[in-house]
Amino acid sequence: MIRSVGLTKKFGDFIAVDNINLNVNQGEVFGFLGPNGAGKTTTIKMLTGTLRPTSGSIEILGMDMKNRAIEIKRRMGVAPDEPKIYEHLKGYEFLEFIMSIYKLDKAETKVKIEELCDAFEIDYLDKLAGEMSHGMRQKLMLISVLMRKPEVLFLDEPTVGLDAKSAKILKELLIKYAREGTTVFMTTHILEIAEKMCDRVAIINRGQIIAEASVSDLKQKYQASLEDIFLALTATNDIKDIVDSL
Amino acid sequence: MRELSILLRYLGFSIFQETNQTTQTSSRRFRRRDSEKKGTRNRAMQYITILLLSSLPMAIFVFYSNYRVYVTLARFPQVAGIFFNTTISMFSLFYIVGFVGTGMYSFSRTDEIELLLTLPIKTSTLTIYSLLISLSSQLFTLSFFVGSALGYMFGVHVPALPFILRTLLQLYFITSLSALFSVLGGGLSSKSVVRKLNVFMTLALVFVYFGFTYVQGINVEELGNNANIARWLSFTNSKYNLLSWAYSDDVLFVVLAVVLSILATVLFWYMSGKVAFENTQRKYKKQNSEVIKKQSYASFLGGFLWKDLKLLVRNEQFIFLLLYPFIFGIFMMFVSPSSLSSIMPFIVIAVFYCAMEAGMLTSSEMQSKELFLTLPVTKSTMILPKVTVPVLINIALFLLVDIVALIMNKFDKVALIFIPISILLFALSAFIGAYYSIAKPGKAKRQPFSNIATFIIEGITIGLAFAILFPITMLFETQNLKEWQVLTCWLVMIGSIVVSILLSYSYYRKLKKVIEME
Ligand SMILES: Nc1ncnc2c1ncn2[C@@H]1O[C@H](COP(=O)(O)OP(=O)(O)OP(=O)(O)O)[C@@H](O)[C@H]1O
Ligand SMILES: [Mg+2]
Repeated sequence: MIRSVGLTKKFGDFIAVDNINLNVNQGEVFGFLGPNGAGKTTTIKMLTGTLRPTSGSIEILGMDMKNRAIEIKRRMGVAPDEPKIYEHLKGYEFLEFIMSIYKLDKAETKVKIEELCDAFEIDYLDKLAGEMSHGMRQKLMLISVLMRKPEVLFLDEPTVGLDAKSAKILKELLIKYAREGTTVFMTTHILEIAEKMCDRVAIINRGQIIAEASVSDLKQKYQASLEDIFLALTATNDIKDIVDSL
Repeated sequence: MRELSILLRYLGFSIFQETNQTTQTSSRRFRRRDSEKKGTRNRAMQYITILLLSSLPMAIFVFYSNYRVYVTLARFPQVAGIFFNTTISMFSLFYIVGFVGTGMYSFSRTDEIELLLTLPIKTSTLTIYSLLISLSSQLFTLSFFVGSALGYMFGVHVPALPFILRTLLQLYFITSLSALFSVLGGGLSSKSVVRKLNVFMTLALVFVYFGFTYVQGINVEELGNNANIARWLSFTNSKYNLLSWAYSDDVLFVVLAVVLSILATVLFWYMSGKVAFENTQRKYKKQNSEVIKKQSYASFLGGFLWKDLKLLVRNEQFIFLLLYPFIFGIFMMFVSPSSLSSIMPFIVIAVFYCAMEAGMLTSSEMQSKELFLTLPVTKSTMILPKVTVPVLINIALFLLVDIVALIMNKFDKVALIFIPISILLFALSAFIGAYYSIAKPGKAKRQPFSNIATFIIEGITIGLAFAILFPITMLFETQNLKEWQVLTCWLVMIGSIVVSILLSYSYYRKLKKVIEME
C-alpha cells in the first residue's frame, strides 16, 4: 500500500531523510517513531506529495507518486502536525470546501459530519478558522479527513493537542478503520500509544531508519518495553546521568 | 524609544528583506535572521536606501513635470497657487486614504504581533511600530507629494524657507491625522462589521470631502474658459479645504492646521495605549444541525472559486481595493465633460489594485500551501480563480462606470476602445500580482508582496496604463495636434500595447513556472 525506495531529502547540504525504504501493508497501523528533528514530518510530507524528494521513489496504492499524484491524493487522507485551514472560512465552510473538492455525496457526508462532531465534541462549525485554537483546528482537520474514509491515512502526531476523550476516540476509530481495511501511517512521541495501537513500527534517527519490526517481535527480541528499546536505540547518554546533572 | 528602535532594527526592517530564492521556508528565514543579527543594522539602512532610491525616479519625474508646468504658470502666480493647492490636496488625500487603509489593518493580530505581545513591551510602542511599518508603504505617494512641492517651489520662485516649513507642517498634519484615524478605525473596532464600515466610511469621506468643497465654488470665470477644469480646481481651493491650510495666506488657517496636528498627535498618543490588537470575535452559538442545513454554492461554483469569493467579501481590504477606483472614477465623471476623463483614473488605479487583489488571493492560498498540496487538484485549478476573479470583477466595474456615463449622458464612443485595453491591462496585472505573491512574498500577513516587488508592480502596471491611455486621450481630446505629436502618440500607444502583451505572456510563463516549483 505504502512503499518507498531510497527516499532521500536534502535541505542544502543537510540530509534530513536519508535513503529510507518503507513497506506498509493494507489494513496495517504503522507507527513512525523518532526523536525531535529525526525526519518524521519530512518523510510524511514526501509520502503525501507535499514535498518533493531529492531522490527515491514513492508508491501508494500501487501508483507512482511522480505521475499519478492526483489519483493518489483523491484516495488518501492527511492530518498534518500543523493544521493549515483557510482562516477566512468558517468550520463548516471548510468541510463544504473539502466536500466539493472530493465531490462527496452531500446527504451522506452531512450525516457523517454530525456523528463525528458529536464524537469529538465539535460545536464550533460556525466559527472562523482564524479564530479557532490549535486543538480546535486540529479536530476540524481530523473530521475533514475521517468523513471521507480514505483508503490510506497519514497522521502526523494526531493526538497532540487533543483532549483525553477525543484522543481516546481517535485511537479507537483508527483501529476500527484499519480492521476495515484502511492503511494507517502515523507518527507519535507517545510510546504507549504506539505500543497499544501499532502493528508495526519503524524508528528513525537523524534521517535513517535504525529499527523496523512488529511491536511484538521487538519486545520479544529485547525483552523490554517499547520505551526502553526506543531510548536504548536513540539516546546517547544515560537518562539518569542527565537528570542528575541538571 | 529604546524599545521601538530595537523593534525596528530586529523585526520591522526584516519586511524589507529580500531573498533570492523563490522557495523559502519560514524556518530558513528564521535561521537567516539569527545568523545575521550582527549585520541587521546595516541591512536596515541598506533597505531604507533601496526604498528611497526606488521611489526617487518617480519623485524626479513628478518634480520635472510639475516644474515645467509651474515655470509656464509663473507669470500668473495666482493660477499657479490654485493649481498647486489642487495637486497637493489630492496627494495629501491619497496619502491619508492609503495610510489609514493600511494602518487600520495593521492592528489585527498577526503572528508577529502575537510574539511581540508576549514580550515586555508597551502597547503604545507596538502601535507606533505597526504604524511606522504601514508608513513605509506610503513612500510612493510621498514621492508625488514632495516632487510636486519642490516643482512649485523652484518653478514659481516662492520664498524657500517659509515654503519648506509649510510643507513640513503639511506632512506632519496629514501624518498625525492619518495616524489618529488608523487608531480610531482599527484598534478599537472589534467587530468585522465595524471594520467593513470603516472602509465605506473612508470611501464616503473621499466623496463627501470633494462634494463639500465643490459646493463652495469660487469665482469660476477668472480661471479661464474651461468651466469644468476651473470648477475642478476650485473645490480644492475653497477655504474649507483643510488639506491646503498649511499653505494658506490666512495665518488663522495655518494656526488651525498646527493646532489640529497637535490635537491629533495628543489624541493618537492617548489612544495608542488602548489598541487591542484583536482579531474580530464573532458569536457562534448555532447548533451543528442548523449550520449543516445551510445551502451553499460550493459544489456549484467549484471549491476554489467559491472559497476565493468568500475571502473577497469577508476581507475589508478587498472591498476597499475594488470600490475605491470605482467611486473615484464616478466622481471624476461628475466634474469632467466626458467619460474619458473618468475612465483614465479608474483604470490607472484599478490596474494596480487588480495586481494587489490577485496577490492577496494567491498569498492566502500560499499560507495554507500544505493543505492544498494534499488535495487532488492540479495547480492550475488552484491558480485560475486567483487570476480570473480580480480581472472579471474589475472589468465589470469598468463597464459599470460606462453605464453610469451612459445614464448621465456623458458616454463617449471612444470609451469602447478602452474595453479590450483594460482587459489586457487587468490580465497583465493579475499575472504579475499572482507571480510576485509567490516569488517575493511580503513578510506581514496582510502584505501580499515584498516592498521591492510592490514597486516593480506599481511601475509596470501604472506606467503601462498611463503610456497607453494618455496618448489616446490626447488624440481624442486635444484639438490641433501637430503631425509629429499625433505620430508620437500613436507610437507610444502601440509600443506600450505591444509591451503589455509581451509582458503578460512573460509573466504568465513565470507564474506557471513558479507554481510548478512549489
Ligand atoms: N524546510 C526546511 N528547511 C531546512 N531544514 C528543514 C526543513 N524542514 C525540516 N528541516 C530539518 O529537517 C530535520 C527533520 O525535521 P522534521 O520536521 O522532519 O523532524 P520530525 O522528526 O518531524 O521532528 P518532531 O518530532 O520535532 O516533529 C530537522 O533537522 C529540521 O531542522
Ligand atoms: Mg514533526
